[in-house]
Amino acid sequence: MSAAGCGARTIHRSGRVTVVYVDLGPSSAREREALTWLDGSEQARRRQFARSGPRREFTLCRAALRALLCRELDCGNEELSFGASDHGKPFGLLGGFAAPVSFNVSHSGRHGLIAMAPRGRIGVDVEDRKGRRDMDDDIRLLFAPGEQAGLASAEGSTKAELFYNLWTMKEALVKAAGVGLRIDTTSFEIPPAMSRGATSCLVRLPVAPSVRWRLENLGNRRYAAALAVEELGAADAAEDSEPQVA
Amino acid sequence: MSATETRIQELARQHLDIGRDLDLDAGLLSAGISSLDAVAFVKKVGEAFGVDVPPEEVANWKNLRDLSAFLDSSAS
Repeated sequence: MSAAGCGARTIHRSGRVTVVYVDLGPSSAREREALTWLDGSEQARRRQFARSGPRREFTLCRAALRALLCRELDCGNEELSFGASDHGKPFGLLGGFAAPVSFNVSHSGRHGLIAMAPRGRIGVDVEDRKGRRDMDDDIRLLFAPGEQAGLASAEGSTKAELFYNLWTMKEALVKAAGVGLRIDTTSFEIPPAMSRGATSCLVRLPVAPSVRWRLENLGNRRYAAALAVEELGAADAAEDSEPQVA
Repeated sequence: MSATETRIQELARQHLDIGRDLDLDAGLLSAGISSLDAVAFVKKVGEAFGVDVPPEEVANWKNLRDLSAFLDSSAS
């Protein structure tokens, strides 16, 4: 099975980073084929999902990740395995050694995203734009004061759109930094320009103030999505071109 | 099921759209709950119990029984 056979297609290229969209809609044929890509531990993890939807999302996303990594690393699926950092961020192993590639995966509902780069830390997040029961409560609990003020001044669908945009940017950043949701998301703020329609900016996080992250809003009407990429310095900047949406 | 676990189930029915009771032995993500909903839910549970739940603590939990145990230990 190829990456395309997994329902995967490139939607964004930005410098060294490629972002692939994975269609996680129901398809018993694709899910059956994807299952053949998973190793024993992944199949055991798959069985832990109580509901069919999350089980399918995990299966299709992991198979697509494997297909993409095999293509990137020019290796066989059986050579690939995965480890995780102390904080749970997964990384690839090729023949038991750390694979020379960075990746990050997110899925929500029918939407999966895989970000991949040859080096540097990256984080990606996608959220289905579903309705929320307690949006005002969630805003109070999840966002920094400045973000709360911005959300309070928005209404209706604009408010919901901004809610998910801000959340995916926050989660992409903490995933890139490798700390995940060990950081209280109220403790740092997405630059206000991103709430006003900017599509990218540079950000520093309190947990790693020496690192600059390039943050990009990749969302559309169907889903919110964001990408965070570690800035690696002058040589890397020369390689990086303007972001392109495919 | 302890009183704390029963209350967590009530809060899950109130705040999460999962259409069934939570499996207290499963992680929230294994139950198909997004990280966004999981973070918000844990904060709401903390508020309901009057307990501040540090995010770094949440990351160490394997399942909701760990949350229940944390709440019980914080109350004692």
